[in-house]
Amino acid sequence: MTAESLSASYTVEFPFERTVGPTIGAFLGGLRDGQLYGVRTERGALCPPLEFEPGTGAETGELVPVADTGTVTSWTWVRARLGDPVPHDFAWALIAIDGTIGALFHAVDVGGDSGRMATGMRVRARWRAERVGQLSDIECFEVAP
Amino acid sequence: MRDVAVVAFAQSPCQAANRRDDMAGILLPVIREAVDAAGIGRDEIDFVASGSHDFYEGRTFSYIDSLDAVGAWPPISESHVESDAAWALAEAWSWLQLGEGDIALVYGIGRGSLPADLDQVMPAQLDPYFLAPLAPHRDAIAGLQAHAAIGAGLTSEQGMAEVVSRCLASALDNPHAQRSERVDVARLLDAPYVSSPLREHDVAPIGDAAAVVVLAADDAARRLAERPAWLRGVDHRMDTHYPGVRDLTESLSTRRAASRAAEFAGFLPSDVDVAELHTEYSHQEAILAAALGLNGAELNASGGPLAGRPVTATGLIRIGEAARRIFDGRADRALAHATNGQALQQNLVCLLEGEG
Amino acid sequence: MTEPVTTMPSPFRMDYTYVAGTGRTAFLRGLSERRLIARRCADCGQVYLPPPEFCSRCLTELEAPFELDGRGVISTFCVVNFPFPGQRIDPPYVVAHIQPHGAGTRPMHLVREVKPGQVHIGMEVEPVWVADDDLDTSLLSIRHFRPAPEGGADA
Ligand SMILES: [Zn+2]
Repeated sequence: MTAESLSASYTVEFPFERTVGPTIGAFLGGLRDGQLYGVRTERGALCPPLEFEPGTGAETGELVPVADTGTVTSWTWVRARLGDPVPHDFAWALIAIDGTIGALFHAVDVGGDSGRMATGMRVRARWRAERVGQLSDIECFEVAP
Repeated sequence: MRDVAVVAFAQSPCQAANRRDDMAGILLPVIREAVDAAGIGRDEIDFVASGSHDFYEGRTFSYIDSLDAVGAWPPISESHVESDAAWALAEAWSWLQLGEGDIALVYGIGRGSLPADLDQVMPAQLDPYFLAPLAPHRDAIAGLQAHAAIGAGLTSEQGMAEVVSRCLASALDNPHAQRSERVDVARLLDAPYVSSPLREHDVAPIGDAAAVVVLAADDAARRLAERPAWLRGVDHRMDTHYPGVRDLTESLSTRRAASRAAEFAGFLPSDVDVAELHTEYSHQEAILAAALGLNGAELNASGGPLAGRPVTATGLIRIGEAARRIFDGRADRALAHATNGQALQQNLVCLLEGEG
Repeated sequence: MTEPVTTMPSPFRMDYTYVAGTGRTAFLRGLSERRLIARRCADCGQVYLPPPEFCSRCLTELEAPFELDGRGVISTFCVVNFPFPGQRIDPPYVVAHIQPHGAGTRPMHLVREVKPGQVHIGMEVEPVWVADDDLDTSLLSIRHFRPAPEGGADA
C-alpha cells in the first residue's frame, strides 16, 4: 500500500525575547551607536566578542572599539531570498575585522556580480540609518574603496 | 570495561518525503526487522535509546509518537536525545558499560521533509546572537567551509565531484539509497551552484527514514550474532559553534574523538578496512579523512549520506553500515563517524572490530 | 562607553506539513461522514479510538475497523476559567476525557449544554455533530459532547 495519508500544513511561531548578557549586550549597544567592538583576550581583541575564549575557556576582558573595516577570509555565493540583507544575489562571508582575531559572519554586497568576490578583498560595514542594537544594524559589508 | 557489540542493524528506505506513515508507522517494521535479526523478544530488551529532533518534526515532544512502535507499556527503561541517534547509541553503550542490563535497542528517526522550508529551520541550530538573526541559507556555512577547504588545498571542485560520483555509484548496490546513479564528473561540474562552491549534488539529499541498531554485551552479544561487530572504542567531542573562531578546514573535535576511541580500542583509524563517514557535504570527506588519519580504508561503500540523509538517523546508519561489513566478513576493522551541527561542529567516532 | 542592550528579539516562524499516518487518516475520514471508527487488538482486547495501525502494547496489527455511536461517560474533566490567546470559546467551559461505550481509550473533547457546576465524573454524554456542510476530516466535526437524555440505554 503506497497511498498517501491525510496531511495538512501549519505554522509554528515562537515570539521569544532573549537575554544577552553583559559582553554581547555591550557589543549590541555599540552596533546601535554605529560602533563595532571587540573583546580583550590574551591573544588580542576578539570580534565578534564572546564571554569566554573559545580556545582556553578563559573569561574575556573588557570591550574595545575596533574599526568597521576588514578582510574577507572565506565566502560563498548565494541566491537572494525574501528577507535577506541584500536584495540581489550576494555572498555570505567570514570577515576578519582589522586589528582583531576571529572573523565576523555577515553578508557582502558586490552588486550581484560574483566575479567581484575574492578571498583577501577589503570590505567595510554599511550601517543602517535606524539602528536598534541587533546584528542587522549592519545592513551588510561592501567593497572598501 | 564490558565488551559491547552491534548485533543487528536495519533501516527503512531513504525517501525524499514519506507522506503515508506517521513516526511509529515508519519505525515499527524496522524495529521488527532488527529484533528478528537478533532473534530476541521485546521483553529481552533492557534499555531503549532514541534520537530525533522536534525542529524537524514541528512539534514539541514529538518522539513520544515513535514510542508506540517500541511497546512502552508496561513501562520500559528508555531515553531520548534531541540529536542524531548516533548520540543515543553512545548513551546506550555507556548504559551497558554500567552493567544495568545486557541488551539495548537504539533507534533513530529523521524526517527532513516535514519543514516546508529548511531555511526557516536550520538557523535554529545556530548561535542565537550573531548567526540566527541573519538567517543564512541552510548550506551557507558549509559553503564557507568548502571554499576554505579548497583554499587550503584539501580538495577541489573536481575532487568534490569525484567523491559524489563514487558515492552515487556505490549506492547502486544499496537498496535503501535515496539517490544512486552512474554519473560523469564532467556532467556534475556542469550543474549550477547552490551556495558556491557547493552544487546541489555536493549537498547530501535530506529526507525521511528510520534506523535501528541492537547492542548487546559480553555473552549476550556472542549468543545473538554469528559475528558481532564489537564496539572497541566510542567517543564524541565538539568544537565551538561560532564558525569565525575555528579553523573550518580541520576538524579538531573529530581528531580528539578518534584519538580517545583509539585508546579504548587498542587500534587506530589508520588500521581500519572500511569507514562510514557522516559527510553532509562532499568536501567534508577530505576534512574527515585528514582528521581521522585514514589510510587506504574504503570510504562510504554504502553510498554514504550523499546518497541519502534522513536527518537524525544518518549518523546511526553509518554505525549500522560499518557493523554490517563486519557481520558479513567483508571487513575485520571498521570506523563509523557521525556529526551534528553546522560544518562538522560535533563529532562522534566508533571503532568496530570482528573476531576470528 | 555605550549603554548595553539587555535583551533581543529571537523569533522563530516555521511552516510544516503534518502527516496523519494511515490509522489516523481512516479515523479522520470517518469523522467527515459522522462516523466514529474504532479498532480492536486481537491479542489484548484493547479497543482504540482513535485507532492507530497497530496496538502500542502488543505491536500487532489491529482488527478491522468498526463504528461506535460515541455515547459514553466522563472519566475526568476540568473547568477552564482563564483566557488565553487563540481561545475559541468564552470561559468558563468544561474539557473532559470521555470514554465512549465500547472503547478502551478516552478521547478529549468539550462538554457543553450543561452548567459547569453540574458536570460530574461518570456523567453519561453523547456527541453533538456539526451541520452536514461543516463536516470535515477533523475532530471539530463533533461540536461538543452534551449530557445524554435519561433512558437512552446503551447500545
Ligand atoms: Zn494489544
